[in-house]
Amino acid sequence: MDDLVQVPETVGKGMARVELSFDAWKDGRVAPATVEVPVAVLDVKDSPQLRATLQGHDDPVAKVVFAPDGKMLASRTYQGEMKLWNVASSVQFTYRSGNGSALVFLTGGRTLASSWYEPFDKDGKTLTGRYKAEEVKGYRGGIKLWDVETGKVRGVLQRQSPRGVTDMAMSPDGKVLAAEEFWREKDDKNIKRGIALWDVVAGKVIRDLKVMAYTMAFSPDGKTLAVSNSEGVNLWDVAANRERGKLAAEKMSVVALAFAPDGKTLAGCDLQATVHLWDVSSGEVKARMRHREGQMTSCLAFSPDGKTLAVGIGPRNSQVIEPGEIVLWDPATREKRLTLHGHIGNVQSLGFSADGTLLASGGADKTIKLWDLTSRSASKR
Amino acid sequence: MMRTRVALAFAAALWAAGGLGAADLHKIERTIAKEPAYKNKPKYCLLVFGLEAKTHVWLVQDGDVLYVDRNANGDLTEKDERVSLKQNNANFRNFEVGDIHDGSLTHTELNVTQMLATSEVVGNEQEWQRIKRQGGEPWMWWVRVTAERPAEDKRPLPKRIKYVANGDGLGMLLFADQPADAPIVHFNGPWSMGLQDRKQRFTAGHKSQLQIGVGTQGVGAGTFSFVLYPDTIPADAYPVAEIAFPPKSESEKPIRRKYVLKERC
Repeated sequence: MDDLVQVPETVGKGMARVELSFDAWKDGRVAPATVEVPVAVLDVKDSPQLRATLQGHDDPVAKVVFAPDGKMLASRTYQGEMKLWNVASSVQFTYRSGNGSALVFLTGGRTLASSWYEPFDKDGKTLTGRYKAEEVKGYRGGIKLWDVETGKVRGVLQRQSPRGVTDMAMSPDGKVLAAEEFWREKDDKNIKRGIALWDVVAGKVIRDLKVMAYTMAFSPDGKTLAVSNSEGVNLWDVAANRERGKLAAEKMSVVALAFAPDGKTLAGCDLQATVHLWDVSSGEVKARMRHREGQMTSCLAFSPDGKTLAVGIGPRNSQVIEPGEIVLWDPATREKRLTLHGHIGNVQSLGFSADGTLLASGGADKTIKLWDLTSRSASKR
Repeated sequence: MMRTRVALAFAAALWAAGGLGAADLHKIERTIAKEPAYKNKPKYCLLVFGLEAKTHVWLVQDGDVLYVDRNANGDLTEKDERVSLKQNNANFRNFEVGDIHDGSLTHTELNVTQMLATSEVVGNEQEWQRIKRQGGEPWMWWVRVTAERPAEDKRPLPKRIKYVANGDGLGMLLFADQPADAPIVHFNGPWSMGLQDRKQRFTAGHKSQLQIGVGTQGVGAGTFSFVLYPDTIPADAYPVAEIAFPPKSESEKPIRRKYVLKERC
């Protein structure tokens, strides 16, 4: 049994004394018990680079992404709430999409693509709330295309037999959207996974990549898709639809990938709080940057000039509430340039504005924070 | 080392008739009458059954073999007490033991699983270090059983109760290198409540999960035998937690809150 306990703000550090009783179930004759639970008091001081905190989501923020013009920012939660903000911090729209976490602005920034998936039962009814795994007959979903100006859905990218979509990645030329799909075929208990490449203008799947992905990223030239899955990280030749090479990696859970703007370096971070930098041409690890024991890395992003790699960090144990951090690394020297404080819990998504002066972060604390990374501000340690 | 203390208050009436009290598990002599010749470094755990914990069943894992004292006579060299692996891979070994005998009672579906721990699963640095101090791979254990209730237990409950011991507010269940240090897991004992996870923590100003279960505290970390609630604990019966949070300064009184725990995991 578990429940969420709202701990008062006014408590101090130490041990809470918890008296447990089960008088409501006399048949079990359960004796009362007293246990002690440690109480933590967080003391988080915002870094001076914090420019704004955007509040309004009711759940942890799964994704933040800047529009190409840098004036708008989109965010979403895993539960399907999406918001479009102007960077001056007011909400323009709140949308409801299905479950999912991916958000991508299409070329020009006038369309926002969101992935979604939903389980359904044997009668085709969507399963919501708490349901048993055996009730799930299959998954469906797709990609919704939202008009940024009106906040209305202007189109849907969906298979004839719809599949759930989790992650997405946009090719640099804005023409191809890679979508990580999962589905169940008739009478097959196993869940199938693959990547579909959508021509976003024609609204058609142009290629199915027979590879599954936890996460993926297009190379700047659009020819390669870096894919992380249970086998490690590999580079997929998009045109030839075959693996181009496996990066020198032991099996690891890489949860986020990003190419440097020059395409020569791929960065990935894993649940063991390590950031890996791979040389794309040789497939060798160039560097590993480790964070503290007990932390996990959840997201990363290169600045547009490639001189900064931002990494989102939080506690590995999701039950423990601790401050989150954003570490700004210099990928050339592999030195930490700055650590940004302000989030509580994991930092789950990061995105730079196109000019590189602003960094947006979405956190498990349900907030979005905007960090001023102009040179004067960001030079402070 | 600061450790979460679980102080069980056996103030309420116990289920047994005749004024019998719960056994003091710490007084149990952890010795084995007869052991086989092991091929690997053996790992020990003691299961005890009943309110008075009179029935003792030793589990000794010897690599891919588990010795189980099915008839609780202290002799692990007898026929049918050597159990081979049912399933395994690099991360786990599973032994399906089946039935064990406790006087006139037969407990079924005894299952022992040895699993590799990870720091993510453990989620507590001190506990992770304790697991690694075993040497070699960082193993932890699960013990599951469906226990037959004795006739003198008159509670209106199913005849058989499913239990699991795999970790609690003190840590993960680890088998020991010596019988004298073996964890003791108590099934069909007096029921109380305990924390399910050593990761348990509250944070000021935030919602924190409180994970508790019904069962019996054993001896050692991870030995709380939790009752699996489906078919046993009614879905509409909720335990209550009354919490005294520490104040900010010693001159203030503790901050008290009461919570009805309705969610089940």
